[in-house]
Amino acid sequence: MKMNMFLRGPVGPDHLRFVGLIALLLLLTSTTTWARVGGPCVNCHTMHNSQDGATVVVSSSGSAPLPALINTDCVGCHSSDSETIVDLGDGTRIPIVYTTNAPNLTQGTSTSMLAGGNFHWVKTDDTKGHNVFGIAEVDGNLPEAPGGSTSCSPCHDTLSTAKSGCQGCHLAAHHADDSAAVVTVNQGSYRFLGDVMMTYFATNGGYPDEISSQKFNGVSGIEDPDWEQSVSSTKHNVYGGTVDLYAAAITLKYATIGQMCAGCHGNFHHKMNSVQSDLSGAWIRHPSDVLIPAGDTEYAAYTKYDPLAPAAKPVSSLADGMQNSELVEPGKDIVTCISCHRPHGSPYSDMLRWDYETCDAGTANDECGCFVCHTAKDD
Amino acid sequence: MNGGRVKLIVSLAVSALVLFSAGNALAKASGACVNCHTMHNSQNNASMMIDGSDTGAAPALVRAGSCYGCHGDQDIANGDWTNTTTAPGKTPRVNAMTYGDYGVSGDTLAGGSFYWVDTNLGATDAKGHNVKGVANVDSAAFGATPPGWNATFSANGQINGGAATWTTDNQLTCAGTNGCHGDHTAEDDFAAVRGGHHGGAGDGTTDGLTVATSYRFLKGILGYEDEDWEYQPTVSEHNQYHGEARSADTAANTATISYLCAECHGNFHSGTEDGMGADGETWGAPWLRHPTDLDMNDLADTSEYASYNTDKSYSVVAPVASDDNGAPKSAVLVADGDAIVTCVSCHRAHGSPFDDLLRWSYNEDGHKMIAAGGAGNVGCFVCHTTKD
Repeated sequence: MKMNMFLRGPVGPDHLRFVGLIALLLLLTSTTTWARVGGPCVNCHTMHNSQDGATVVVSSSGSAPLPALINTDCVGCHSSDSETIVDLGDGTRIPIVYTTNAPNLTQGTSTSMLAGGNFHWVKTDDTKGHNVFGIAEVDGNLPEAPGGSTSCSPCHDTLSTAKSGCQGCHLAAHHADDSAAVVTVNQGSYRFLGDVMMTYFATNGGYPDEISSQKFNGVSGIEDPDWEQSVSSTKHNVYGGTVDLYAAAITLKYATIGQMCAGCHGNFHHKMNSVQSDLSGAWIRHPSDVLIPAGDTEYAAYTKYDPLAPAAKPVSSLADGMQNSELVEPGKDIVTCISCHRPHGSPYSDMLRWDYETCDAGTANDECGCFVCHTAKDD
Repeated sequence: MNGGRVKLIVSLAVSALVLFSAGNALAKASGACVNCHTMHNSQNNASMMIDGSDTGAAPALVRAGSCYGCHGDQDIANGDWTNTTTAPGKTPRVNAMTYGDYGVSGDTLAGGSFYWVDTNLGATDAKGHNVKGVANVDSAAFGATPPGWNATFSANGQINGGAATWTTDNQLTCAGTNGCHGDHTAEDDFAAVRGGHHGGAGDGTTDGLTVATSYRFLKGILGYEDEDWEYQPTVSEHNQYHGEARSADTAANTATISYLCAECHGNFHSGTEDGMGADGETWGAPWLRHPTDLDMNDLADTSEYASYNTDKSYSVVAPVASDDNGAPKSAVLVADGDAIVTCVSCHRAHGSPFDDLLRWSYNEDGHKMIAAGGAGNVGCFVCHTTKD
């Protein structure tokens, strides 16, 4: 096992001890028990960035001290050569979101890709993941986030700047007590997916008057103990969704992972139906944060949880035990962005969870996630 | 055959926009999802619309802003139409450009082609149905109201709300309230054919109960669909249209392909001793209009019709319908109900190179149907075997 603590700097065993859980970069995975950082403080922090006459910090920005006294940045901690969970011992386990070697696409091994995906592929191919600062340069195809509904640059245009990066999605809370099964804003938010705008306003003149009365929130969900390194229909994350129809907003009022995505890709949610006001028209974009239909529809046949195309549960119904339940309930459960995408990246275009190019209507294909919901299309 | 009468018939088939064609295996859409759908209409900072439409994301997440965008713009799977019959995910094309004398040797499919009525191509109104998005509203000479319009032919849904007269605001659409395909209670094309492309039994059978299980998404209509939509059909590979062996001018069977046409052109099809429909006072000659849903088995064995297509083989030039649509028939006049004259015996619903969207030239220079001209059993003379 070798971790790349700083992708643009030297890597070696000596640096392993620096690795902290610093934060950030979501992972979109984690465990109820393990999301909260444990282990020796020295694993992650340096008090003065000085040891034996040398600096300790090594990050993509250089060797200057970092906030929270951490040894390296998000990418530095959450990267490795191959292993997707790095165990430093003494209780420090780090979910890895970027490996220099391609992750194993078969779950259940030490190098299996975690739930949120892996930035490995976007390092060399813009279409395979989010171009995050420290890993990939600005997307050559996308000067701004597709579906963007705000012009607030650069954070809503790209994650490949120091100002956006991992913290464009994640609001680090590594020491929050997330021992409860359901992780909410009160436990640091599911995978630290919090209201990242808090950071912006806190350092840019305070909250605007129009949102001063709004309560900041975070994504809710249930985190798998090994971030879905191993996953099955009875062992998996549980994502939160809603059937409440929401528009663009600054805060994560609905606490869904879909609303988190909509922060940058707004029109993919806010303009998904020809009659968006009540969704009574035709779908013009694939629905997200929308009820999986029941009744006399092909969707009603999706009743056993399939990690390939996960269904979300209503945020209000999230409860301990769901992470071990295979029950999917059309008419109650919800299709969300994560049903199709892995936010960090995947080997497939558009960071899809499967290869869309191989999905052929009329041809059965267990590896095509479309057919998990569209159960009759492969007949 | 009387020229005036033939002129009247001409309009009969007009209705069905459809495709009047399809394939057993292909009636249910197959192939790569990406050929037809885009999840967010966004890829590499560009639109995914295959037809170049700038109207934004389209209903059902399809990659075109209209039916014609997929079926008449370009082959969404291949970019062109050079391999219409072999490409995976192939799409039946409704704007083919080669026809031949009878539409069976070029690339025109069974329903015909809008190519010859497409306003953008400088075509003329007489060659096809003026469908919205393809052609302008039919000129004043033809009027907005369909010839033979009779609002009572509504068994499969009411066209245009049953309005007494049509205005230019009611231009024909591919599907829906003012269209031929899909559910007539839906106003727009996409909603009207909802569930059609991915539905159906998948074995070519139709029951007319839903859009998906109706012949060519013509809700309520039955028929057998050829697997390549009659691309260069043969005596054994062709559509099998559904017809009714009528003994009266009223239409008892509302699932025939002729009834589909009658939904807009009803007076060309049926009447009750009122000067409408095909007959006068009795079912039979003298006809007021060219009969449809007439079984030639009911005519005298000694008549010229008993020599349909000379040897009673199925003619892909002037096809006949049957009351049994389990499979294509290679021979007709074998059993009752297998040789039914129908609107599409003479017309191609989308359009053709010929006036009145006929399957062959009837009265145009160089291609006239001439009695006693020795033309052989082609066109009108496939049935009227002694008239040539």
